[in-house]
Amino acid sequence: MVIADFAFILVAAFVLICACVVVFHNKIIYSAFALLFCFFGVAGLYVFLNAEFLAGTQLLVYVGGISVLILFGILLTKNIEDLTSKEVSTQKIFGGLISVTFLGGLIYMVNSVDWKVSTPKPIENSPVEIGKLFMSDFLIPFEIAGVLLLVALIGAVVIGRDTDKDLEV
Amino acid sequence: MDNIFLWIAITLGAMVGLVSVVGIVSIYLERKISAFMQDRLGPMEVGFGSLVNAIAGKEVLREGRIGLAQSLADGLKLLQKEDIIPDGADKFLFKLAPMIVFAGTFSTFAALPLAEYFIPADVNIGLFYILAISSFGVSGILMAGWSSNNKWGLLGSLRSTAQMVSYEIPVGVSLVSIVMLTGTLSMKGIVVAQEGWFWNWHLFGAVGHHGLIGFVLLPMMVINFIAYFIGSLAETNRAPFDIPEAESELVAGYHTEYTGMRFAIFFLAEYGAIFVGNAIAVALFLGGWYSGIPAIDQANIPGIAPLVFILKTFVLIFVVMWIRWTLPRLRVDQLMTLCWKYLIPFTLFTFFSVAIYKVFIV
Repeated sequence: MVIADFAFILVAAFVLICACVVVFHNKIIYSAFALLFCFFGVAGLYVFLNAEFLAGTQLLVYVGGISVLILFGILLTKNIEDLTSKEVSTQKIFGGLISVTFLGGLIYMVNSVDWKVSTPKPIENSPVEIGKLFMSDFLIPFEIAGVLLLVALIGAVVIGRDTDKDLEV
Repeated sequence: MDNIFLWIAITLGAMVGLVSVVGIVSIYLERKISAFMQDRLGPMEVGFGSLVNAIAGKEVLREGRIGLAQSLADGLKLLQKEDIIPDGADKFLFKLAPMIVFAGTFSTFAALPLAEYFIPADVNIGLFYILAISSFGVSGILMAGWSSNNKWGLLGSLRSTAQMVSYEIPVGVSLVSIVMLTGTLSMKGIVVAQEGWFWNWHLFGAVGHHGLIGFVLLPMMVINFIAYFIGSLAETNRAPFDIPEAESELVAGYHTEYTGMRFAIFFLAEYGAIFVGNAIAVALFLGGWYSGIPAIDQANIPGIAPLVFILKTFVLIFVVMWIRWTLPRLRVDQLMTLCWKYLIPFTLFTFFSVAIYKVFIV
């Protein structure tokens, strides 16, 4: 369908432009915001793959969580406005060579692989199916992920705990 | 193909209209309600008639006016204001920030079930979509605070983001209980599950569907509803959780440097977010577009369903305003205590109870 193609090109271009800003912009704060929009665009790509639940998770975790965390870190750093990342690009020729070689390899790979097109229709109500799989076939990975997050949560509380007794309210 | 574009245009137009009308009405209500609570009259000068007369150059009468056109007059005023961008501000991000904040709120309207036939997009992850997309606005607030090059702005936006991120947990957990009970994430499906008499609403434990055993659910759902309501107050930065905008400390928080229409956009987004927060409460706990009396729902009165939904939402918005003009502001430590020591344990408890109920009783 023409409209879907048009929308896909729009979203893909948005992701690519944002990704370029992340890499090439001198100001780190612009890179951070561009990364956020890049994540947002990737969520749009998931929608085109009929993975709405994944798109929602992408928004909630990457846009609402990780990007905000990165921004927090940057905003709380002193004199962030004066900081530019110009110093990084010292090995221009060598780095460029590696990048071009890698790009060539990727293009060769994309063109040479015989991509399979999946024929079955996408599942109508994917969240329900995902939930069922989490509770049956993938129960152990699901539980382990849960325990991991719990450990991270408790660890964060322990690290962030106020050790100075005088400051206790 | 033309039809699709027409459909998109109509839907977007209806959504823009809804957001604007909700904003205008909420701001008028806020001024009137705050005035009545402080024993004042509030806006009394601008009525629609006087506005027309003033434009036509006729004599403006004072009688019979209750300030109905005050918000419109404010909007006109804000349109004419000079658009100031501070010298040290990051101009691109400064201009972008209000758009992001508004987009975050505006996108949530797409999944609001105003009626069975009136949902702009009934996606199968409706509730999850609303929760996810509203986190997009958080980044706009950070952007606004940072790009203004103002310490009040930055502090306000950091406080606001911290508050929104931490209160997402109790809000999410309290909503998951409902999702577990209905077995669907679609906003439409959740509302349809509450059809019939008002005791079928989730707030009252959906007694009608589960029989008398549903009464077990009632206290859980009341706790859930209160936790969600408090959480949504905090997520929209309303008093008593208006630490990010604390006038006595931070001037105005993240929108300190904004003037004119950009400021108005922030306010529109804020009132839109309040509407969405309460609309979710109505859809999930208070029966959505069902009036609670089957005879009214089955009478086929045109437009009754969206009207019921919006009326219920505005009742909740009234409570939000009532709370704002009654309670003093919380301190930051009290804010975190409320979230981590009360709301999260309570919502986790109800979450477990609903899970047990779902597995063993229904």
